[in-house]
Amino acid sequence: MKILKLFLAAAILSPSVALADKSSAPPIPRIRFLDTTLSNGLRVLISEDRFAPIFSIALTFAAGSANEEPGKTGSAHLLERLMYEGSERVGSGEYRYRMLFDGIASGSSTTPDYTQFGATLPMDRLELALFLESDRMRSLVISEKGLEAQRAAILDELARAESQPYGRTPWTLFKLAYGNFAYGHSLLGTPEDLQRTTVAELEKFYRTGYAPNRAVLSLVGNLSAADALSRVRAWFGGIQPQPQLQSPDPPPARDEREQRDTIKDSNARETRIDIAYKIPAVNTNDGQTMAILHLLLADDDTSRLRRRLMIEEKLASAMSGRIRSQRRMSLYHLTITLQPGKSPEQVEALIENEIERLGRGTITPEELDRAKFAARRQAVAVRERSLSRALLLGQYAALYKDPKLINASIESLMSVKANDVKQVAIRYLTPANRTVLRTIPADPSRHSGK
Amino acid sequence: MNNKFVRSLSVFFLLVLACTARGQDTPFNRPVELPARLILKNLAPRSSEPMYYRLPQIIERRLKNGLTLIMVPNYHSPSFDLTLCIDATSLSDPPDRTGVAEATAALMLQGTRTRSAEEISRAFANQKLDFVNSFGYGARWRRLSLNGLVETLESGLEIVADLVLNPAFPANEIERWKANRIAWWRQSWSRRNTVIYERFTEMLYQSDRRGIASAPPDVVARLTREDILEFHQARYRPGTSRLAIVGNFDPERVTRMVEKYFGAWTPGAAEWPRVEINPPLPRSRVRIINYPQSDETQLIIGNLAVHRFDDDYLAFALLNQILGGRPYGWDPASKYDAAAAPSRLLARFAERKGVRRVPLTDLSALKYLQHFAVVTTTDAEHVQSTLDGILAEFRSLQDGNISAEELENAKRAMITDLVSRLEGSYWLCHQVLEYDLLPRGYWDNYATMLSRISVEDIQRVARKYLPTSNVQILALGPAEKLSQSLLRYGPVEKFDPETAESN
Repeated sequence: MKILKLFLAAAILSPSVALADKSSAPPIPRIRFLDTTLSNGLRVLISEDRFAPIFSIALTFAAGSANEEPGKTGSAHLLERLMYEGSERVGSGEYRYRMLFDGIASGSSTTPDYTQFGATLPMDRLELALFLESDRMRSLVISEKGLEAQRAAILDELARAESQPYGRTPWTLFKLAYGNFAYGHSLLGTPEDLQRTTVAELEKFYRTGYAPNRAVLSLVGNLSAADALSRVRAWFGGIQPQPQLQSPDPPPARDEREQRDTIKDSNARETRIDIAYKIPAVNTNDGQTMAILHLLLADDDTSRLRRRLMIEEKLASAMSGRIRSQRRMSLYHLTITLQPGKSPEQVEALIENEIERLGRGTITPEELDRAKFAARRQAVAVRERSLSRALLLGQYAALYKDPKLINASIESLMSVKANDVKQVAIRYLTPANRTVLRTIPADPSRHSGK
Repeated sequence: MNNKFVRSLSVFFLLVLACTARGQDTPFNRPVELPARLILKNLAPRSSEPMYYRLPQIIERRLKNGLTLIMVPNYHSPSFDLTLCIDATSLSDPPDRTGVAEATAALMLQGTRTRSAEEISRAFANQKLDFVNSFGYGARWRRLSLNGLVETLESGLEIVADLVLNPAFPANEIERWKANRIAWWRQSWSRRNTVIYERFTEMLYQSDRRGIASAPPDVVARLTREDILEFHQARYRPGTSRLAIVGNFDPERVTRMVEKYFGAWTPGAAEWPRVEINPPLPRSRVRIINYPQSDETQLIIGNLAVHRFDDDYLAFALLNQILGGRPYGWDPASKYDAAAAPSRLLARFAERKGVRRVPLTDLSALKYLQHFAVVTTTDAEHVQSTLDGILAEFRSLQDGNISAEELENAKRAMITDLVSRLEGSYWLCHQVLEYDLLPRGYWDNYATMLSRISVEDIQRVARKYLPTSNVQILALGPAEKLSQSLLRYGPVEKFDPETAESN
């Protein structure tokens, strides 16, 4: 009985996914969609899904904080908020009001490369959704009153962000890592720039940045593609294209040497290290391989680096990693909060050691299988909702002009080999290609270990 | 164990979702907002057609041992959600063993006959299964929920069955749990949200088992392993349990899987807890839990009301929408235009006047819990005006002052809420759990039943269940400032939060 128990324990402790019945694993459904462009340049992507009586709509504008000029930071985010202040046929706040009673979910976000708006509604509300989105694309009203209200809200948001522990850290890191204005400034802007922003400047940004020829409209859900397309033409077809916005300067692809800095934070209680490596965009083979590398290295407690830092050596109380995708280059960003009394040098040395092991050592088939399994899990979760699919289609189309990546990215991930991961580790996760920012408590007596 | 969450893999994006009163599990970056200014042009197209929806195919089975199995097999994603509900809640705690249900639920994760706690955790992690172990005092069910890729469904069933059928209840873990629980209880007076809920539940249900919202430390200290084993034996029975699975699978194959892993569960049913459904308490009462240094007052005002299977439930749920409907995830401390308010209380209290968190309704209409309350936070000086405002809204509904538009908006919101739950497996799983306990065709006819509810129906249930002359009020704040102003609502008792004793 004892031997049997040990055998069972070993089987359960084995890192393999032996219990999962891979033969019964259904494929991740390919997302089929219609892809067309109207005469005014609006790209339209429509994907039918009859499972639930709902649909989602996403409008993605290839204009974000990277398109801002020095002295005018925060405009893209400000404009995102002003899109709810009303247009020719929609009153101030009326979009949100309509969503309360006729919608299920709605929201928006600004990034350096794009600004995106999304909503989910019951399937018989397509006309309402198209009316609301087309009206604000065509005829947004930017008033002094609206500007004042949104500016005040963002200044409040900035103040709250600054008062949070490590509030300044992310954008300090990005400024150092990207090395250019376009991608290295905070998308919230600075209080001085926000105070200077005028209605005329925002109107100019809106006219060029939010034009149909810079936009992707994606619809996913319980609708007929042919019927939806004819309605889209009716609501959006008459909106005029605009001259192109100047493209922002891309960040340098690689650095010759490491970038480093240390900042003090009066709200922080522990030292935190942020490390960013410049990596290729996700629409490249190496970009996709990095996603598998992350799952092997730093995704959860079974990942190599996390396990060593947090469980075995107990150097860190928290650790996370993520890939920050941009148009031409991404950042692989690791965040490590140190345990009290532990040295940053020791942590950085361990990270280098684990990366070296990954690049020069062995990646077992079981390890790679586990990472791909996690990748599959995440890919399924991200594609489960119609809104997620609509947003993803829009992002791939706006960033890379390739909405088919929504399917191709999964195929790429599943075909990554161990040697691909090792090569990517050697190529990109090098000291010369990294930016390291240490955030230390300004007041050492606040240290939680004391 | 991981809690259920959604992670983005290859594309990182900051996503702000303003979810409207729906229980969507999408990530937030910014709190949901109501507009700060509202101007309606009313030019948006509005569909007057009834909202279309259809429930997916639901298959019900009953295993030989009595376990009810409910399946939704045609989900559109290669994932699954399952929830196992067991009638083993605090309502079944033996009179002198309060806390044994909670202990049993918590300690099931500390090992089985074949797995240690660490092995259980690792088994879930290796299969990327997200597991949630739920227990609540007074709840209808004790729940175990699991989410993962459909190819791991069998593994998940095996692990959950092992937890339920073969728990080890290690003695050292029991002692550790008891010590932690007692330490937590001793500090609970500082957790005001816990105190207000527990004391209010006590007020409403009094000596009824539902009035116990946590186990007292002296009782917890006396719990033994034998108590836990006995409770597990008596209450963890298939005949009064149900398993709902939503996913992409062959129902016959999954039925066989469930039979394989749960078939050994000894047949039998636990006895349903004996719980009376009581009418609202007839006389007003006021209790103050004294926090003398507090600069704000938390208030609950309410009474017993309907339970889930009562004929009045739907009309009262509609009343609740009219009175307190709000976007899911909305911050009641935020500012907004009164005209944008989707419900009465939000409209009335948009101007604030000492109100720190706008009054929110709480309708706990479950099989056993059956109360209705309004919860808010104000300055001590504005307690009376806030309570008067809430009571004024109650009376207005009792007088039938409801416009046709208001009623229609509330109905649309409730149907949209149902529709929103039909997309995601997690909410679908919860939606179908009591499918067979409701009248046949309930959800298919939901919109029709709602459409038939009239202003007179709302008025009737408002008179029956909204407390005006029989309010139960609980206040957490400085008793010295509150006592006088609260006297007008009923006899006032004051309590010390640390000792829970009257003073």
